[in-house]
Amino acid sequence: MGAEVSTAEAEEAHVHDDHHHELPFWKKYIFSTDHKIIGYQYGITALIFLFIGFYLMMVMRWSIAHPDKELPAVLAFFLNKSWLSDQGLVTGDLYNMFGAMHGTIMVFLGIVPLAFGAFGNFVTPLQIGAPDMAFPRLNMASYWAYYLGGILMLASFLLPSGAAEAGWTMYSPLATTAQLDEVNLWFTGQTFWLFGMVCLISSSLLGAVNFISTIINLRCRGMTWMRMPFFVWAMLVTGFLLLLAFPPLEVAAVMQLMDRLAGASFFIPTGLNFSGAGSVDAGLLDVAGGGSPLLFQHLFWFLAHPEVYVLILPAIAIVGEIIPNNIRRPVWGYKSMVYAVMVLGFLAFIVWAHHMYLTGMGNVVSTFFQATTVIISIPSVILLTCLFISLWGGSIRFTVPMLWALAFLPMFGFGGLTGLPLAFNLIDLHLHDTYYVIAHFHYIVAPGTIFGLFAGIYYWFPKATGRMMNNKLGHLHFWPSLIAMNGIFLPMFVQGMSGFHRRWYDGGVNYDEITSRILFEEGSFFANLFKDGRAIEMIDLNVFMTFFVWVLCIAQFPFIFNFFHSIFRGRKADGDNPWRATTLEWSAPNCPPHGNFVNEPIAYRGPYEYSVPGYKDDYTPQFERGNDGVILGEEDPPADAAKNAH
Amino acid sequence: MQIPFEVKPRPDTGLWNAKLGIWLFLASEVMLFGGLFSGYVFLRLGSSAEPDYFWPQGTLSVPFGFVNTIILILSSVFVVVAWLQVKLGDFRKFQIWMGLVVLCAVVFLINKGFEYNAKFHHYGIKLSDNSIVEGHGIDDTIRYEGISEVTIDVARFNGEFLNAVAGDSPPQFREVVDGKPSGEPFELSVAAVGRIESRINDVARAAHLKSVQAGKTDLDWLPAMGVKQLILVAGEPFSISLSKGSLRKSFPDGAKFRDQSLLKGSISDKTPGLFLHAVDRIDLRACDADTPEESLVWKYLGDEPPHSGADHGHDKHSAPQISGEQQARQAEKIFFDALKEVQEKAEQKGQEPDFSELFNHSVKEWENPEGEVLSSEPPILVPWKDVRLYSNFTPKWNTYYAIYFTLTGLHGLHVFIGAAVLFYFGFCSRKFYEKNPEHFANRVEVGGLFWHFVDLVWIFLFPILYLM
Amino acid sequence: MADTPEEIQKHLKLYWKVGIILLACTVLTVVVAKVTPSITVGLLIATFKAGLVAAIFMHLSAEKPMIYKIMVYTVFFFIGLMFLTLLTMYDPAVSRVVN
Repeated sequence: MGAEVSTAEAEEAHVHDDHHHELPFWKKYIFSTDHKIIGYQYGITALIFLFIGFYLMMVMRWSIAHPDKELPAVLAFFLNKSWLSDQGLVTGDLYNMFGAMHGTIMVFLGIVPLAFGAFGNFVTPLQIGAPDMAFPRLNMASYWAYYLGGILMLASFLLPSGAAEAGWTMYSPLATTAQLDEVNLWFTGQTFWLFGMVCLISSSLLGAVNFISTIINLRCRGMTWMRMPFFVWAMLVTGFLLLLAFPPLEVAAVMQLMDRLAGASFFIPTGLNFSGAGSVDAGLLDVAGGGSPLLFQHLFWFLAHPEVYVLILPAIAIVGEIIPNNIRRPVWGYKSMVYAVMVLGFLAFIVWAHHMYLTGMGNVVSTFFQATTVIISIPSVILLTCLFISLWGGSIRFTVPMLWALAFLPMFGFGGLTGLPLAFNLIDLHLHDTYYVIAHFHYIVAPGTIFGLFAGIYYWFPKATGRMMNNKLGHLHFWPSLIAMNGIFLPMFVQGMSGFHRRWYDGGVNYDEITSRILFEEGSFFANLFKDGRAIEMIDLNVFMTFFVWVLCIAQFPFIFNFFHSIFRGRKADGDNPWRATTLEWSAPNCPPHGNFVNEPIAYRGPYEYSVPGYKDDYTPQFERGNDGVILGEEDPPADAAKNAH
Repeated sequence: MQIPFEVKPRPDTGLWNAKLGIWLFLASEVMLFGGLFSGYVFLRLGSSAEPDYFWPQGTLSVPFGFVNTIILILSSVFVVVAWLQVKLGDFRKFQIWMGLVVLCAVVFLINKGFEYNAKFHHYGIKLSDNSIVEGHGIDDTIRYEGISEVTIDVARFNGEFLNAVAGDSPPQFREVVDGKPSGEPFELSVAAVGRIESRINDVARAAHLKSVQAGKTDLDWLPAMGVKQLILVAGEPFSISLSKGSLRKSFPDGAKFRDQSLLKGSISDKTPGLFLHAVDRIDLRACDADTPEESLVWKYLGDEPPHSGADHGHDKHSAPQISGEQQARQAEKIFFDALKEVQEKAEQKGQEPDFSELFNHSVKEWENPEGEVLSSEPPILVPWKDVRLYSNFTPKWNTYYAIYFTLTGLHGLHVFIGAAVLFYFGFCSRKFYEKNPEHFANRVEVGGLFWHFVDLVWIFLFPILYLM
Repeated sequence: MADTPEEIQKHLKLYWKVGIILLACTVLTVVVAKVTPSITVGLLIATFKAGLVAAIFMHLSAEKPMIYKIMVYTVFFFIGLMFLTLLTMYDPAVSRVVN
């Protein structure tokens, strides 16, 4: 053992000589092949996009709550003024554009790159004890493809047509006929969106290939399948979801490009009469027809449903790392969680048509998808239950990452359980495209995934920078965010069930029947409190929710300040393992060097050995041999084989 | 730093990294082409549910597809042979085989280019009664006369219609204010429109500022308050002449350009319709008329446009010894003779007559009953009002060509990239080979796997696009 | 994969044989298409050819279990993509074209 360590050290010293001193800045931080640097690149780019997506949402929510009031200067400042109406209001076109781009930016440019790109890149190789990803240059390529896609999406705002405006789902024929009145169809937001998507999809595909190869082939000595931390399992499944689900969307994007630019009619039915509200080109479209709008929805949702799990799995996995660490006991049912996540990865592919109940599919198919959709809730519930049960009897440390993780559990539960009614064909007919759906999936991705990601940022920050994030600012970030998120999304369930449609840009003022439904009677307590005794109607909830959007916005400032301040001035982390955690990434030095580990990482035990009887400490890291550590699979020591190979 | 298992396989999985990577990549490629194939099936079966859409069958040249299949299969064999040469340590032979692979790829792509080119020069017209004629040599020149009023979209105007103006002197325009021409005549250009726009907007902005000062509003001046459209009047009526395909929309009483400029005028008698020089196929399967005799095709077949200025110089395909009208009547007679024959045969057998083959009828294959070898491809002139759709055989013409171009285009892209990578291995990697032959053999294997996959996709494309 | 020169020579012969079979099958496809308009036969021959390429040229006949796992997983969803989408067009319960 001693001899091994010293060779590893010698190798490491050699590595230092080789790579560390002569790399110029642009090679080290811009075109880097180091998985950690690429992780940072992904993380920072994605955070910027998250804030852009948030801004778009603030404009939209303003329009919903105050459709007759001029946009406040602080929001209008960033806007191209020609998008506003002559009364300074948000127009329907602008709302559509921001709605489409909010969804696109949040899903494809914000959360997936942050969860999969940033955390996956930074944490996965460290947790399996690999020196880097299997294909470091491919890794760099996938970041830059993502970057290019992001630039295309942002550039589309600067075009005369504005950005895409057909919803983030880009259903044809709406998406194909949108912005047709522009002179050059190549330079329209819709077209840029499609090109941007092709870049983003390619990026994700390359990333997925890389992640799966890394996890399968680069695990260190002793890191057997069942010793992998849950996070790595989730990344493996996420990788497969991206790998197999994204190509059909790429096909759909290419086909829609053909429809727009080459005049094809893949998704345009025969004899489509283009009413073109507000457009000057009304009349029969000059196309052959014979295509099928349904085909686009199939190809789109074949990706987009697995995509939902791409959004949520990394967050569950981050929470799954943080919870055992902060309750000082093993996670309950590690194996069940692993199997559940595999089943989830499988079922995710055969539920997609539950987004299409309203398209008039046959009953048999609807029933099939309804059944699979209900079944897929089982593994999700298993994951959640395991995490909840883990809490039982633990000695919980309420650190900042733990707060986010704890909040994640009920929020994700809310989102998941309210999804069940939508799985049923019959109920979906009523709830489809209402705010109920919005609330359902936002509970999963906003207070769900984003909370998980915040937890991860606070948790791995010391590993990345060697410094801790400020605790007080962390609390100041967490509590208002928790309250504001619920203030925004809970009322949406109520509105949705009363029939509020998600695409009303004026918040529903023109829909008397629905919006005048009474929430609190005249003279009741709340009516006296907020409206001088007049009855509170459904539509008044809009103002309530928009108020909390501003609260949520302000609550992010402590985080931004904390993040940058702590990088340079934060309290120094207490050693390489400040959280007293068990997984392998904590055996690497803080700000790990190129090649990651100083000593050869070896996994002697399972990932979550907390409070093991007979040990002095309440945690036994994977890399600690102790007196009962075993290197499984020692008959084929991969590390030796690797050494022989060179 | 060295990534483990780049060359030697990892003992427990038995795989080196790149091999695992390429198979994962191929898995995603399976789903990529899977999506396209599922689109193909969806469109093809969907088309059978539509009464007036018929999936084109056998329209591609089988010899072209056949040769390309052979080429790809051979290149697939060559690439494994090349890989084995690396394993045997014979770099020279490896280069020869790799060269053959790349050569195959180049020939494949050239073949494809010829095939695409033929499609680009073959046209189809769908008439307003859903009859279809196909052929070569289209003339879609359209001429509008007596244009005096022009409506301009201020934000989009790019002056493109000025290029189509017939005659030497550019027309002079005046603005229309409150329905009356006003101001000095000027020559239209993008800059001129900009000047007018800012002049009008300056006035409006000043008025707005006044109302702000008066406290009526606190809004800033917004672009939405500015002028959006301009109506102009030409000093003298002028004409335009251009290809109809470059218009956004054409109406009997006006034309709209891509930049939304709307010109009011009437279509000239010199360009009464869309002209196709040589019709080689007539398809009446989807025709709305009650009987095939009533199809509009017979009405317009054989017509030729009056020789206009724009159309001079154009020679017919072959020097006509009989007029287009005579050819057309001949084609019509032959068509209905065959129709009768089918009917009689069916009557004898006591079955419903099956017209499907007949209505999808190739003019070329018809023999001339007099035994004379004359041009058997009559011209057709379809009045503009009866043109529902026209296009060359590109994705626009129908969903079959759309999926054909998408599938073969993406496949061609794969061929191109694969060939580029293999070329790099074959002719730019000598040093790498000498440094680490085993690693190099791995790379060639990975490149080969990709190449086989490209071949595998084509094996399916050939029957579904060319044969069935 | 075999590494001794003798075995490589053996493989070389196998590859040429498979190549010839593939060429023959291509001719067969064209001939069959002239004789019968059946889609099934054409697709069956194509599948056979594709199987040969995958099994012999791409060495799938003797590959590591990990690759098999990945490919089986992929092919399953490939089939799902092909057939589930079609089912939305045909409703088996009513057995007629719905859309």
